Amino acid sequence: MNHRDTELIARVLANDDRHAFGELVRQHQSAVRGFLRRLTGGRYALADDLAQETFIEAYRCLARFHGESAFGTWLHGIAYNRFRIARRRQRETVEWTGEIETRDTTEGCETTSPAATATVDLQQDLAAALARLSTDEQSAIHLCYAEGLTHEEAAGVLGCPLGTVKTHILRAKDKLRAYLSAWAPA
Amino acid sequence: MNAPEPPAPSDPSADDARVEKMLREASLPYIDDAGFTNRIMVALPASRRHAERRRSVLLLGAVLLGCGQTAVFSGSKVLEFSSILMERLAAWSALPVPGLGATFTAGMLACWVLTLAAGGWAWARTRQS
Repeated sequence: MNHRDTELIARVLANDDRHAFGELVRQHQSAVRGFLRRLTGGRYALADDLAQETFIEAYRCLARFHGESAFGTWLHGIAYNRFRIARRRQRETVEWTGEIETRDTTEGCETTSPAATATVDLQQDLAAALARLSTDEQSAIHLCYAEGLTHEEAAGVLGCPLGTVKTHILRAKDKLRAYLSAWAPA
Repeated sequence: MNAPEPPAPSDPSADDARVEKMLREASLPYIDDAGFTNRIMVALPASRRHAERRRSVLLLGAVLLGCGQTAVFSGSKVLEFSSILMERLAAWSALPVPGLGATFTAGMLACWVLTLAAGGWAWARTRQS
């Protein structure tokens, strides 16, 4: 585990050092919010609400973190649970609220070269292809490739068996191969 | 005229490597904090230490209140009960009442000292961690 994280966590637990907890939030907020934005399909407001719940729960339950995994991995587990609870509540009441923010990935990029344009197009196609996967497949792919977790760590975050994670990844890659076949080399 | 050759089937392992490369390179952009951390800090629950201290005070207060109520409502009956209890125990244990009383008192003091020592040790361990 990150040495800096270990030190900050120890300070929070020993002295209830809120400044130290603020540092932990600052370091991990981007990864957690990005993960939740992926899970909620781009609903930024909802993702940020869930991220807030994640960090508050992390503060309350910090004594239960014993360092078996990286702190970021533990946070992703809490975030995924908050997402599942919210989705279950959504099924019982109304649909997800909030606008889906469709960001223009070319914003701020002055793409003059064909290579740069192709990169942007690939990113857009990849994002669209990922959005077509199931939530479980998206989560498994994001954790293992974007966050760099092992399959075992991803299984811990998602609360499912290792075999299930591997199946999600295999199926996701099969689908992505089909969706992105236009990008295959000739 | 020869029929056109069908396209060569793609190599699955090469396709897999291509998809994996795309996934690894497509990491999410960094999200600016933009006041997010401040919102978290404002929303955090009350300090953990305050909650524990409040719990200890409430517990001690409840114990003292219970003892006080017992003393007030039973009046001299508490002393009478204690005296009868001592006599009964002395008869059962064949110890004289003063000796029995001294034994109980010493036992209670030992328990208090052990409890305080355990509490101090636990507090010191918490500080170290």
